[in-house]
Formats: sequence, C-alpha cells, structure tokens
Amino acid sequence: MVASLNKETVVELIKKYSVMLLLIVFVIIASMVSNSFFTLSNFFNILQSYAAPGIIAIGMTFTILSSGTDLSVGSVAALAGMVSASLLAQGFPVGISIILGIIMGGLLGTITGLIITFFQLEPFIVSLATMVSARGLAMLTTDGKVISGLIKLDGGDTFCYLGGGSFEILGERLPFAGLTWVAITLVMAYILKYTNFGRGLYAIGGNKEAALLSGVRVKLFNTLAWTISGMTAAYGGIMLTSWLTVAQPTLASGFELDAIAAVVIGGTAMTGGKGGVGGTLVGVFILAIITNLFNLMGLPSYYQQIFKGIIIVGALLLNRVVSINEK
Amino acid sequence: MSNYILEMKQICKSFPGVKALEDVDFFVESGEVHCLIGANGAGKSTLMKILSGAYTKDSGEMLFDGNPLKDGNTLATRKAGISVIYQELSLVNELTVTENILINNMPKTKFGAIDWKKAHDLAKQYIEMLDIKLDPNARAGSLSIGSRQLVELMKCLAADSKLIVMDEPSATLSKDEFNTLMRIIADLKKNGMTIIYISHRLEELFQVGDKVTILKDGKNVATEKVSDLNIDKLVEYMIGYKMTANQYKKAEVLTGEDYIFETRNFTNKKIRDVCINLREKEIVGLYGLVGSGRTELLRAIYGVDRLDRGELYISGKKVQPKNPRISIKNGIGMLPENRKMQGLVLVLPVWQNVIMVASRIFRGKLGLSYKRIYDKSRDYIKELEIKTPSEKTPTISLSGGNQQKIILAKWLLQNSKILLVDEPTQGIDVKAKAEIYKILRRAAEEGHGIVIASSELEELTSVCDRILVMFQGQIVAEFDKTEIEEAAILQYAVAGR
Repeated sequence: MVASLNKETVVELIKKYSVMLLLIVFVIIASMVSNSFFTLSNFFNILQSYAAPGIIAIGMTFTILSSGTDLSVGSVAALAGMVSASLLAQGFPVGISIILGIIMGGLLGTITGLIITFFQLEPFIVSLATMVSARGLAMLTTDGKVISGLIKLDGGDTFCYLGGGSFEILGERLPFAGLTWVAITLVMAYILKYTNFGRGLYAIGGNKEAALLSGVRVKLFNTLAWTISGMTAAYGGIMLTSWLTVAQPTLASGFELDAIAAVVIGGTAMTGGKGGVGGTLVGVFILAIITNLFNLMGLPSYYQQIFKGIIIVGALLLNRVVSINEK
Repeated sequence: MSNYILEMKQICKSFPGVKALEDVDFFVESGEVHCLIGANGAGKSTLMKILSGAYTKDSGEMLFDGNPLKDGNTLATRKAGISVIYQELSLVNELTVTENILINNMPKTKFGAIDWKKAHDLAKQYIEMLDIKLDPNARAGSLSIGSRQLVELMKCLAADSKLIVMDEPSATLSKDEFNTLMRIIADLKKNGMTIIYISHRLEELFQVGDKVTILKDGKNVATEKVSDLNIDKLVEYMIGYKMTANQYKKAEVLTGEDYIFETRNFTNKKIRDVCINLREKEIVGLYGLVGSGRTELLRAIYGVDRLDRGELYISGKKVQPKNPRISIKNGIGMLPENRKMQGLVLVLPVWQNVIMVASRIFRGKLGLSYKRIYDKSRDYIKELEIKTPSEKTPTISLSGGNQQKIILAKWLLQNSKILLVDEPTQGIDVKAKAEIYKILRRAAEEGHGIVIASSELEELTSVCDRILVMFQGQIVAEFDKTEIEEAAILQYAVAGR
C-alpha cells in the first residue's frame, strides 16, 4: 500500500514537473557539450537576451489559457517601443513616456479582447488583424524610420537602464531586464493562482459555458487576459528598444511565434484551461538554451531552427504522454 | 408469405440495472406509415437504435425484406435500405443542398471526378419530386429547420431507402412546415415508401399514420389500426389505465410570505404562461415528455434563455432573471441537464469545480487561501461520499455520479437557497442515484427549496413533495404528495388533460 502510494506520488510529481525535467536534461547536455555554458556569466547573458521575449510570452500564456492565441504581440511590442521612444524624443519625462507606451499596448489588447468576446469572433483572426494594423501604426509614427541615439536624450539614461542596465552581484553583472522578467513572472503566477480572476481564466479556457453558468465573469475576464497580453507585449517592446538604444518599427517581428512555442513547451494547452506562467518561464529557458548552446558550439543558426521545431513537437508529445492516463 | 417489410421478433435488450426492451414484437407492412409511441423510457429509442444498428440486441430476430439484418452494423443497415432521420439532423451545414443530398452517392464522370451537372440535375429531380421550393445551391446551414429536415429526407431517397424512420420530426416545425411534411409523407406513401413515425404528439398520429404500435415499459402493449383508435384509447394504452375525466384541477398559484420563489406567466418560444412556486424545504418535481419545456423553464428562471414576458419573485421580491450571475446573487443555483458540457470544467481538478461559484469566500488578505479551499473540498468529498483519489484529481476521470455530486457540492457551498435541478440522475448507476436523492432530500431539510425536472417519473414520485406536469410548454396539472398517482400524471404528460 505504502509502496504503491509512493509510486503514485512519483508519477504525479513527474507529471507536474515534466517540463522542469526537460529543462534539467537540457542543462546537463549543454554543460557537457560546452565548458562555458554552466557559468554565472552565461546564465546572466541568457537572462539579458531573453527578458523581452520572456515577458511577451507571459501575456501569451494568459490568452492561450483562455483558449485564444494573441498573434499581435510582436507588432504591439514594436508599436509601444516606437511610441515611448518618440515621446521621449519629444521631451516627455521618461516615466510618462514608458507608461503611455504600456497603456497603448493595454488599450490595443483590450480592443482586441472586446471584439473577440462581444462578437464571438475567432481570436486567431482578430489578433491577426491587430498584428497587421499595429505594425502599420508603428511604421506610421516615424514614417518607417528608426529613432536612434535614445541614450543621449533627456532621461535617456533611465530609459536605457530598463533593458540594458545591470548591477554587480557575485562578481558578475546581473541584468535589470532579467530581474524584471522573473519579477513579472512571479506576480503573474500569483495572479493566476491566488485571485478569482486567475482561477476564472482557467474555467473559461476549460469550458466557457460551464463557467458562464457558474457565474464566472466570462466576458470581463476574457477581455482582461487580452489587456494583460497587450501590456506585457508593450513592456517587452519598450525593454527591447531600451536595450538596443534604438527604436525601430520592424522590432520583434516573428516574436509571436517564439512566444507561442515557449508557452506550448511550457505545458500550457492550446485548448485552454491548463498550464501557467511558471511553465512558460521554463519554456523560454529551454528555447534559450538551445540557441545558446548552438552559438557556443559555433554552429549556424539553421540547425537551431531545425532543432527548435523538433523540440516543440517533442514537448507536445511529452505533455500528451503524461496526461494520457487522466482520460 | 406476408407483406411485412420489417419483422422484429422477440427483441430483448438490457442495460445495467434496466430492462429496456422485453420480448418486443414489431412488424411493419410495406408501404404503410407506422407510428411508434410511448412515454419517456418506454423503449422507442432503444428499439430504433437496435434497428439502425447503433445498439446490438441481447436476443431476438430481425428480418428486413425477408432477409436477416446484421446486428449492430449501421452501415449494413443503411445498405439494406433503412434510413433514420434523427431529431438532431446530420447535415453538413457548410455544404450545399445538392452536396448534402448526394453526400454518399455523388455522380462521377468517367475520369472519376464529380459530375456537378449531373449532381445538380439529380438534386433538382428530388426537389421536384417532393414538390417543394428549395435552392439546390443554398448552404444547408442557411435553411430553416423544416427545410433541413426535407433535405435529410431527400438524402434518404437518394440512398435508395425502402424504409425511413423519422424520430420526432414535428418537434421543431412550424405549422406550415408541418403541413408540408404531412403532404410529403402522404406522397411518399403513394410511391410505396414505408415510414416509421415516432412522435409524442398524439393528434399527429391520426393525421399521418396507418397503424400504431404502443410501447410501455419496454413492452409492446398494442399494435392497432389508427382508424380503430381514438386519443383516449391511445392514452390508455400508454399509461396502462383507463383515461379518467379531469379530476385534478390545475391548482391556483398562491402568493404569500412562505413562498421563497415564484414565477408569474413565464413565456418565451418554448414555454407559455408558466406559474410555479416553491416553499422553503420543499422539493417540487417537474414532469413532462421530452420537448415539453422542462429544461427551457429552468433555463428561463436561471436567466440563461430570454423571456418574452413574465415576472420572477424571490421571497416576495420582484427580480429580473437577466443572467446566471444575477441569478446566483438572488440565491438561485442550477444543475444543468448536460453535466459534462454545462455543469463542469472537466480538465480542472475537483476542488476548482467545487469552489467555482463560491470562490470569493476563500479570499484572504493574500489572495485565495488554498488550505481552506482544500479543507472545504475534502469536507464535501467526505460528506457527499464523492469517490475520488483526492481533491486534486481532474474531474474528467471521475464517474458520472461523482461528477454530479461535485456539481451539487458547488451549489451547497454557495448555499443557494433555490436549486434548479435538471435530470439529476441521467446515465448514473442505481447506487449513486439513491445517494443523490439523499443529498437533495437533506438539502431540502436544511432549508433549500428545490425544483427537479426529470423524464423519470419514479424518480420524482420518490423524492418530491409536489409534482407539476408540463405539456407543450404549459403546466397542466399539479399533484400534492398525498394525491400522487402515476397513471394520472402520465395521462396529463401524454395527453395534456
């Protein structure tokens, strides 16, 4: 009896942390392949490079949990970067510029969400429309030109610290962006687990009708998921702009696909109702390690892409296998 | 030897705990319209599912056109020339009328491609044959229910069917559509088609049928010529007693302090002038045949379906049944008819389904308190005897009875004063059924008022204090616990008087 119970607990644990196990496997492989992989400086390097895509993937987790997919995150990120940088260039205080950029993203997300929930349109297509329009808007802000030399502007130092700043810890530079990424993940994980909004989102994603009949605020919560996705995309875009010290309207194109990949690898179900931002964090790390490893080995990026594709399918299969005996 | 096109002899079929069919003989002559009637659970659907091959029979013999029919093989049945038109039609909404009619028999050119010209000509032929107005290029999904039913009928013709089974074809039709259907059935009969017509509406049988077979409790009570029958006689067969005169008057709906809940003149597409009330600690049953408006009434009270007219009073106070959220605030809870699709989020664990309505009470300073949530869920698992490995098990892996208990737990936790319960024990085993009745009874004793809609009369007579009978969207009779008489209830449900 005790033995069988233990066995069950082990199976439960493996199920719950299967993504984590995958990450550990990758860390071990990478450490064996390259000496410079398992070092603090390389870890911080990954944090710096993947903070923006990581934050964008957090918002993506929210929409996918509610059984939608936000294709507009890349464009919204670019637009927010352009808006914040333009405002800064026009002499607005740095705080206001950043906040207006985030609000811009939240607004676009909210509009997308409202259209989806009130007219019951396909999230994929509605967010595709937002994706196209937001990219157009980003181009329109400067007529397609880049805004460079952000660091030299008034408040440019602060602005550029957001994505490129770091402070010393254990003899290495810990990137501020990476810290923000982890902090936002924690806050969002808290929201998902400890608020009625968070739990409601799982219910909506799992079975909209049952959620509605149980009095869950389906329309409000569903729209809010899109608002959050818009805001995190915007912040990711602003951070990326800040890191590059150049605002460009073509920023973050294709990020939506990486974000979806990270969410899926992290164990969130595309059908909704299952998963979380913790998994997404791990998912981004797995994708990051693949790139990092291939870079350290000096292999061309084509191999990375091939391998990433394999990993996405592999992670899906893994999720399938661990959830199969629930049915 | 005989001109029977279909002979079903001594058919038996049992499900766990129920004998659905017992030695049923069912003979259909070639070229007749044979009606099949019976109250809920009489065995009509089971018999037809055995005919269509959806179920396998336990014993008995089936001959079609003199040849034995393969058991449990829908494809072979269809090939033999038997088509069934179910209430939920099986058209592909995105395809055109032509494509739907010919879905299994598309004409091909000699190169193997679809011969569209020929297909359209064929479709037009069928449409002309039925003498109806229908655009063969219209999408099936854009048609009215009546027209879709006719497309389904043409599909049967295109498949060279010799016997067509129509399951409750009139339930969703308008008056005009119904008349068209009657005319077409008469035409088809003239051309030698055999039709089995299933319906609850007794008047219809006299319009359409040649012969009628009445099932009751899984047995064939009678097969008679329609011309030898009248409605009273028919009802007598269905309920097993002689039809009695109107001795139960429709009770006056009383208003007063002690009613925690009251509807006045609830009216929409499916229900008409429904007035019901409910006392504290009372269980009221809502009985009616399928399609009588039971579910629709509960949905209207709960604010899911729109009302055209009517007022709702909770403890004497007028409220608007606008949406489930507001209803929940007003102290109403609903256990929907379809447990899996409407009652539960199956992918989520037990605890989350338990707290889905009342989650706000677990809110502490730092957000939801999981310790309290798990403790409370475990309390309910214990109290309602829910069989689950733990409160964290995904709901999908539990049995139907345990899933229903979780839905009950959800509303008990919310402490909804008024519970609307729709088909609480459908598809649930006998033991779990008894446990669910016990839970409902106990909830009533603790002060809840409960309305149970059900198509199982025994279920209602065993738990209810009062039973209301619905017929075609209206309440036609009310029976108090002391005067509950199954035959009379059935009579009202079947005949409306």
